[in-house]
Amino acid sequence: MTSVGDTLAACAAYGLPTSNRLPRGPLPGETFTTLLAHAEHHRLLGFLGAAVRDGALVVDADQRADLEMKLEGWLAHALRVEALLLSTIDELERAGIDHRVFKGVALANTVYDDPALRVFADVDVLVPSTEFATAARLLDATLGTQRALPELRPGFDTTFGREAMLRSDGGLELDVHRTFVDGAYGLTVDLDDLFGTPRVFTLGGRDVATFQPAHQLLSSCYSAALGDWPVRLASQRDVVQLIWVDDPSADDVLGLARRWRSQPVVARAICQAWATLEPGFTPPLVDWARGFAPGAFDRILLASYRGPARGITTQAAGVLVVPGIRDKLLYLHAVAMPQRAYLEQRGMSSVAHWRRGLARLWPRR
Amino acid sequence: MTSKSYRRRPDVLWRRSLDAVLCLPPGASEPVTLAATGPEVWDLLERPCSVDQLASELAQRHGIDAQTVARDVLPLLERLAVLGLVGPVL
Repeated sequence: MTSVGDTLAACAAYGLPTSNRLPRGPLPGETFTTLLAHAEHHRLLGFLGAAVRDGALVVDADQRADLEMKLEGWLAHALRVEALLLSTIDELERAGIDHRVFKGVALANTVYDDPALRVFADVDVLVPSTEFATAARLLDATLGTQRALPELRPGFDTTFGREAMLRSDGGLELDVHRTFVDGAYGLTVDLDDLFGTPRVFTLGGRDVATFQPAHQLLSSCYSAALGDWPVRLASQRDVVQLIWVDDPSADDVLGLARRWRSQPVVARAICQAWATLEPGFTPPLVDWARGFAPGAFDRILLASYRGPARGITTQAAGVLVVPGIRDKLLYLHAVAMPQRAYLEQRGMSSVAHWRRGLARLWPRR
Repeated sequence: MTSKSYRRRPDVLWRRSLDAVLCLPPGASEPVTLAATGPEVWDLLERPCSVDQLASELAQRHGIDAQTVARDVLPLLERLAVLGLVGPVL
């Protein structure tokens, strides 16, 4: 009998040449309910829907109705998110702020035949570091969003930060990024590389700019290898899909990865995606990834993105790649002693912040 | 009247679920759900289509009289136009 985990992996690989197989008959009610919940968590409802529509996964009428209800909910959300994105682009363009849309919205509309396959939760837009604070303030002022959390310390975001998470009145999330991830690997990305000639897709009759395929693949590798923990299967599908559809030059991808010091990230993302989805093709990048062995320093950095204390370890490990003593001290100061507004928003005092950090680093057994 | 052609507006955001098409016209906050024959009509409106052409195509697919279908399709198109999902092609 096929487990829910196997069925999920088969859903994540649906439409690819793969040895992953969906179960033949209808799943028992409880198993299907579990599958639906996991598929939602892993952002796989679109693939599950496609498998059912194509008859590759047989369901009964009640199961189909449950899936339709959940899928319609996510697709309606995707449309609201895309509308927010278009408003965001309007404002950024009006202010002359360069930007690139990436992650869910961009992937759904560039590398998948049907954007409904790839559901997503929020808007992700990258702006140049020099425009980061201006962009976040501008969007708050014009779209009526509110920043969910102040920066760690004044000025931290522009130099070291990952993103400002803004929330709309309707509860939609708009992430204005400076880089892809927190911590060390977010600090070594050469951000200027990302604002070259864009790849353009059409959304609601408008041209929208995202990254070129090699950059899009690398950014997806950061999400798959360092983002959610445990990893969401949709992120792994993105990695495989980008390689399958775009077939970016291995030289281009590895050249960028070397420059961004992210070879361990790319290797991990590709190896894990191939192990889970079992695609029936092995491009040169996969051979490279399987043969790549990160050094001790990178093993430490990679480990900082995993585990229950990763919120702390990720930020702490960042200091290892911050250049210069002065910047290292500024970085450590911000991470260790966030400003009061930040702590208040999180409902913590400085002491509680430290205690919480220590408790996560050394949990009681 | 029935020779007027319609097509989808290019600024409408939309997605297909299993059994429906969800559409969000510019400025709207909530998507409109097209169910039953709505997704079929939406597919056909990718290109400009007159009511007669739509009715004829749907009648052929479902084995129904084209005039009967036309009587149902016209108000649907007018409704879609009011919602800002389709526009007349001049």
